[in-house]
Amino acid sequence: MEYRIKDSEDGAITATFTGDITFSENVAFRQLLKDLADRDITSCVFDLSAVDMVDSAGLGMFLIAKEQADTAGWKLSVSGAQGHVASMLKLTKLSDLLQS
Amino acid sequence: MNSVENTGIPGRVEELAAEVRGATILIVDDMAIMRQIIGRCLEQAGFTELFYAADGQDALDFIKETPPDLLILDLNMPRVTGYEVCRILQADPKTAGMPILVQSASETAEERVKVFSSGATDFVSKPINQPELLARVCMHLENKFLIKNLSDFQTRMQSELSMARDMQHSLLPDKESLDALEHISGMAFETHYKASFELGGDLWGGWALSDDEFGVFILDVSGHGVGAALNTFRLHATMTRFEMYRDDPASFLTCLNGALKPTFPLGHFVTMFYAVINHRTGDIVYAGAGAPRPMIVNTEGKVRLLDSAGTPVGILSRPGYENKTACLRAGETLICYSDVLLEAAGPDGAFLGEDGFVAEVESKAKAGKRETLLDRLLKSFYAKLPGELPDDLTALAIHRDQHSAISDDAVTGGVKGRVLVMTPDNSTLAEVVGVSQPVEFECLRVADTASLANEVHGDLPVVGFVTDAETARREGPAEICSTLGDAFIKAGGPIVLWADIDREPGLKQLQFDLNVSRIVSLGKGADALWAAVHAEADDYLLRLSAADAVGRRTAEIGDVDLASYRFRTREEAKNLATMLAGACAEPVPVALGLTELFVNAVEHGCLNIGHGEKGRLIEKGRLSEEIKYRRSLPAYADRYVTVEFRRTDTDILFRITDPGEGFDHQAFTGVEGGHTKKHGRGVTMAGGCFDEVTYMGRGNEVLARYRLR
Repeated sequence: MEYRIKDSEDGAITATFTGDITFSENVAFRQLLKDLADRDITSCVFDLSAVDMVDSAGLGMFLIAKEQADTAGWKLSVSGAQGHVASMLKLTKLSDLLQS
Repeated sequence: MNSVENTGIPGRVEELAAEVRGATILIVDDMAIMRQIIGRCLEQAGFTELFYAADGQDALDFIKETPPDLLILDLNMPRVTGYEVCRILQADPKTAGMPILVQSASETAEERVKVFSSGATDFVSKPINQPELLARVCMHLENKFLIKNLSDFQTRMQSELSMARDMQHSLLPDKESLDALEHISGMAFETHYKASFELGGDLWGGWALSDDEFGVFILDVSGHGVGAALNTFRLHATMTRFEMYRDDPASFLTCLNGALKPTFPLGHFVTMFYAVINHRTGDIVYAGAGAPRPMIVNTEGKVRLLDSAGTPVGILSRPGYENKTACLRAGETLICYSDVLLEAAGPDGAFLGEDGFVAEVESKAKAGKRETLLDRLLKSFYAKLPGELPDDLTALAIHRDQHSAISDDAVTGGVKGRVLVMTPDNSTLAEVVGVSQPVEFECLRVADTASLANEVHGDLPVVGFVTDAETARREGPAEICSTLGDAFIKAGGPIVLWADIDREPGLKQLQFDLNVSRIVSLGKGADALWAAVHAEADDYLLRLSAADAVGRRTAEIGDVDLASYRFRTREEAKNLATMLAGACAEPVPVALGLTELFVNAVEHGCLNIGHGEKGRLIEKGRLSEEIKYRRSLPAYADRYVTVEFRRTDTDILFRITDPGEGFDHQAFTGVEGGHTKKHGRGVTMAGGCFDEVTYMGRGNEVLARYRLR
């Protein structure tokens, strides 16, 4: 997994992921959360259009991000999920929780 | 320890670690003076376990007996040289790790290479320079102990992980319970579980619910490793707390979520699927919490998917689980699995996914016998994904037989115990017992109360007593009851009286005095007699198991002061009675009484089986069958018994309401001596277990009061 953060002036940022989001990415993902915590943001979109696969640990990381967003008062949403990633989000109803 | 403090080993802490100081060192040199110098240096530094050898052979002999932690070795010695010692030690796995310091005077670069290649660890220069010698000795000893600690630690962790894997494995249904599930359901189970190298969080299980339903779940705790395994154990323990809700998948998941949400760490959750399957009709009621979508494979090999979408357990406070329905028809297969099955590579080398797996199942379904479908799928999976699994793999296929039939044993329920028959030789009862005895009981005939007393206490519990009216009168009802024992009478132990209903005078009084559960008329024959014993023993054992379980479950009702429950099967009645009785100071009689009231409410209230009708069904041996039949009728589908539990400072109140027509309760409770009616016994029994039993409404509502003392 890799991610790229695109800032915008109004504090609405986009994090674009590539590769698989699985258990082994948990250190990289925590780094991302730390990056987000250090910024003054109003919303963040996780762009998942280039992600092929997400496992249960990956979904757990989204939940941690969601918790961080709720606590810090910014809005988190996901976009662009397709294939397996889209069906995982739908199956676990996390798509409702992380609505764009 | 002045010598230690004064030594001053360069780059080392002043005080040597106890482990290093206690190391055993063997000093090998053919010159006594060299041995002394080296020994003295080490002694001054605090080493105490020093040993000496005068040549290579001497050293090898010593090492064979007691391998030291470190060796200081001279090269040129008589008999066996230092090179030779190095090679021999290096070749033996037991000594290959031993650090060897070789003393060197002025070897050339080539010679040094030769020494290292024969197995030496390091050099110490000659003549001996004390700080250098100590520095090298300490470094190599520390390395040795560090490596040993690491490898000990690794070995221990490996054995602990493997123990944890075994423990996790033991949470899965064992062969015995799987066999029982197959037997009860009449369905064939194919199951597979393989733990990943790291611990994972998969689990599946199943349990019989009622005469014709069983529950089955599959779940995956998120993450890997020890944390996931611990959460799996926590979940497994939590599930046993909600036995009451097992017949309702959505409620069951909601309960689990309620219990786990507050304790689960953020980002951790459980995806789960739970289904209640009626093996007689094939009806499935299920609820999903984000588990991979289970499949039903029809007889043509086509797949339909069940909608297991739902918020995983442990995330939201109100996850809103819903019950959904499906049907597993004769000849069809239900497949549940963990998502690692979707991760195998598809035909084009890409991730298989759900679509790919469905296609795989459809093609494999037609490629052989249905009973081995899972086996074929797994073989193909393991062929594509060799090596260690990235996550636990659990898969379960439940095959419903083409000609689904209810097994006979499930109907009779396998009663075990002794039935004592008291009647003299040559009586008609003795004759009946002589020719026909049920296989489920160990049947024993005695002539009088004196011999009855000898048989009451045996290895197998007494689950029934049969006598004829003549014998009962002769021996005296009070005498018989006291011989059978207080515990048997109080728990409503089955007492079946064989009597000529038309000719016997004062039968009702005898029935009351003897606590008779059921009278069987002489003319009905042996089958009716044993059917009555059977039915009464079933009820008795149900009450006993409720009473027996109560001791283990008193904590559950702990904090609840007001609650309401509903149920519709005998098994559920028993479980609820057990749980609620736990609130009372004397739970055993309360469990007995509640079970009696609950079972009556199920049979009379929900299923509308009147007392007379029940008697006739019992005599024909058709009671279980009739219960199953009625429960399958739409008219009875939504008939539940509701129980309200209310606890105040002084009382516990149970209000039991059934949807039935009730009965003329005043005839049993209103007038003195009303007990002599045939079915007043249940009322009497319940009355004995509570401080107050009041029938209300048309008799379909009963209020039982238990006073807290």
